[in-house]
Amino acid sequence: MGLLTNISIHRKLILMQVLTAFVVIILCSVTFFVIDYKSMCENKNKSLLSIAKVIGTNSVAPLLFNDRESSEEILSDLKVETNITNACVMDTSGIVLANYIRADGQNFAFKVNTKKAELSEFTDNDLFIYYKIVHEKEWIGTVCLKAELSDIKDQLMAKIKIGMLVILVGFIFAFILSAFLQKYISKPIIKLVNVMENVIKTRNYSIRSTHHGKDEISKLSDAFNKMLVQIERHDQALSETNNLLEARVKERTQELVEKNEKLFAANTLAEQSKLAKEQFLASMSHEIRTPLNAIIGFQSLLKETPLNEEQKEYVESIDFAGRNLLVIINDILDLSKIEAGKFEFTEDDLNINQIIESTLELLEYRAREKAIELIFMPDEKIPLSLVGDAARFNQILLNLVGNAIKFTEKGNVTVTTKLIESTESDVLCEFAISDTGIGIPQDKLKLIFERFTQASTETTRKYGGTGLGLTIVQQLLNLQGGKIEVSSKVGEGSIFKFFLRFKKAGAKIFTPITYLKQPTEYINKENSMNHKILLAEDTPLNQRLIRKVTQKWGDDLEIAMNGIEAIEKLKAGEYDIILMDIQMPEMDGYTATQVIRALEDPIKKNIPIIALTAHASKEEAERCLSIGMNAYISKPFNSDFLRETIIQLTSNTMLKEQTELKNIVTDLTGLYDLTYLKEHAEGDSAFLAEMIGIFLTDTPRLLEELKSDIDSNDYKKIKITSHSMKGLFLTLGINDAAASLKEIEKMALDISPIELIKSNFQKVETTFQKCREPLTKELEKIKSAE
Amino acid sequence: MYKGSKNILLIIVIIITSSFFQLQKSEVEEYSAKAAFIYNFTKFVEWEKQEDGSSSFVIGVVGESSIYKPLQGLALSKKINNRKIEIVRFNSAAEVTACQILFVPETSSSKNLKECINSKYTKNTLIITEKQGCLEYGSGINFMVIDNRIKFEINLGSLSKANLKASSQLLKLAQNVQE
Repeated sequence: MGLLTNISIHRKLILMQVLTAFVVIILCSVTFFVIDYKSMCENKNKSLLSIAKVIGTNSVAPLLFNDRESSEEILSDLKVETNITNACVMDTSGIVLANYIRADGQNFAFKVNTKKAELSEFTDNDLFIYYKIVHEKEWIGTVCLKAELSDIKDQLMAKIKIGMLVILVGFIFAFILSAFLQKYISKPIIKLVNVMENVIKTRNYSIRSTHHGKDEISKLSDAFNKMLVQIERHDQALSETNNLLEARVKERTQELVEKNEKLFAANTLAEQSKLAKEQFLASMSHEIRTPLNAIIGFQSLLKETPLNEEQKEYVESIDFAGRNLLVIINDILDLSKIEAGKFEFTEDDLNINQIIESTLELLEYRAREKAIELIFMPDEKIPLSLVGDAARFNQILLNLVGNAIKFTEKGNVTVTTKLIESTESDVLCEFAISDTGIGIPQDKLKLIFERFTQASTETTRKYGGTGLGLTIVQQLLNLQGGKIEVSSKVGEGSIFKFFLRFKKAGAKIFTPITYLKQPTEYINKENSMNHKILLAEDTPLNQRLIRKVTQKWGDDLEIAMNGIEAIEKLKAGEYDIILMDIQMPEMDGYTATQVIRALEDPIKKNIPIIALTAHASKEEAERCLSIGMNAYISKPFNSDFLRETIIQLTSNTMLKEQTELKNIVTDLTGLYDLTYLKEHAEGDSAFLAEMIGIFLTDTPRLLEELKSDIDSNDYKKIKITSHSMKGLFLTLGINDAAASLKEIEKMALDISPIELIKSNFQKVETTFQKCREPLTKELEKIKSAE
Repeated sequence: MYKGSKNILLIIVIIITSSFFQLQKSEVEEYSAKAAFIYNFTKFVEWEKQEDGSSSFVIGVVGESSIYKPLQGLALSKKINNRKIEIVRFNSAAEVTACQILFVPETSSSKNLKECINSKYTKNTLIITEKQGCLEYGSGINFMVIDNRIKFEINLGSLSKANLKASSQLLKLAQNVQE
């Protein structure tokens, strides 16, 4: 069967038919030959019997009369029958009356047959006939014949030969016929198979089998076609569903894309607003602290003037409120810095005991006011020399001890230190600040560390504060790998414990960065109060401002419009100090400083340089100092601090380290604020008028310039122009516009899209247009007052 | 010598006697064969009118003959055309009565034979003789011995005279057929 399944159907059909034909032909032939042989034998038998009968009949008389001659004569007639070899006539007792032998034959003795009337005996080669002669019902003798069968066999062989030929021919015909006829079965099947293969290959389900008829193959073909129709329908349905799905997916994708875009936009907006918030907070450093410093500064100046008792009290109140506000603002700034992850810790050499003692000393007067005793119990095991951020440690202590004093009416505040763990490289210390104050309810213990949260609203009213102190403390400790714990009992007091790890001294020593650097080889010629100052500044407003300040001090001021001019002036004349603006046309402050530090003249080479810049950042300060400048002052500046710095740098004496930059800027409310200008004018209304006049005349020109810069996509110029304008707007207290300009400056640096810059630019322009009229009126008012 | 002569004598006697007996024996054989022949002739010869079944088939013998005995034997064992066989002995031709076959032995004279033939009782009778020349006298069938074997000859004229028909087979076997 395995062989049959592997050959093609048309071969199978041919094989089947040929095989069938073969078997049938052989069977028929064999049957025919056998029957033929039998019938030939039968015929032979019959013919011989009839011969025997004739002989018998003829031999009756010879037998009766015992006539040998006539009997032999009768037998001699057998010569005609060539296949009879022997014959004889015998009487009943077996005595042979006559005998016949064929010419070429041999004598043969027949047996005596007594049984049958007729007896035929076939041997392999011969046929024996015994025929009893009966006369008048009386057996009188027997005729015996012996005949060869060779003639039958010869005939049979001849027939078989012909038969074989016929079989062969029949076989060939069968083959040809079946090969021809099988097509009627195999062709349609092969055709159908081809159609199927085509369908499979092309996946085209619209192809149909084209066999027509009423046989089984047609039924197969029809069934196949029906199946194809079904598949086609399914296929169509599937592809329709697919298309539908695809369309849906597209739709959804589109929706998603839109949503994504919206989300992206929202995210960008959120980031922008976060950025704006950060910038706002950063601006606070200038724009809130500066006026506050001014308030505190003027208050202290005011205290020196003759005042009556009532006025003195008011001034004291201003002082208290101002300082309190300063603390709050500093707290907010710290927190925002911490949260923005911009907080950095320094590694200073520090003596814990010393810091604690000085902190307590600082707070001593407040404690004394409330008659509270401050106690310090140091652990002597703690090494005196450690490494850590002294300023932050100080801040934490101040906060906690300050709080303790604030919430304690009587009794004491105790600071205890304890060494918890000491390894080769560092120590873990516990600091406990306990008080005998009002205490904190258990349910509020966790809340007090959250921002803007105090134990109760009453606390805020009664004790003031923002609720930021503890949050900052906790954050500072967390950032340094420390932690804080609190336990308290209402009415009995609270204990704040904090744990902090310090490096042992010698492990790593860092030189703290100071914003003030002593000029190394500058030889101070005179320690007089009159200084010859060179100002490198391109903005007329700033020029005027500094001229006004220095005039007051009695110092000489020379102005250079840019770096190149400053270098030329320094080469030509003699100056005590240079005030260097960073951003200037032609050559900026950095380059100018580098050129100066590379001069040959040792005196001029080492002249003190103070950087004046609006970039109020630590990085900017460090850059200035690294380039070779001696100090860094952010604009707008505190004139007293500037004065102090100038004196310090020119007198070669160390002043108390002062890291905070004190600047003055106007209030945030209103379109503009002339407080800052007025302060610098010191009642000089002509100066004030001049400043406003410059602003009003210069700004339109600068706006035009900035506009053309924006139109020509010149980011470098945009940056420079917006920077110059920012100073102008800040001086006049137009903070909205100043903020926008700062934004523009930043965007120009980042190469942000020009559209964003444009929108900011329009804000500036709008603000300026709004300010223009009131400022003009202000100017007229001042002039008319003169 | 004596004894020898006696023996030779004895042998001669035996030979003579035995030849005599031999002679006797061949005579018996001859006649029994002749009797069988006579019986067989009835199968090939047709008589004019068959008598009804009650009458016997009569075979007459004229004079003294050795055939008488075998014929008697036949008459006891066989029938002819379903008729009993009756053997009748006639001393002379004058005594002959109606019969179907009349055997005239060689001992009878030709005169006797003529009488038999001319007898009014032999109008439908097959006359069988056994002497050469008898056929010319008018017998139907005459026996002859050739090479020690019994043969016969037929006179068709005599047969037709007696209103008898002989079959061709018989005629074929006859040594001599006279018209």
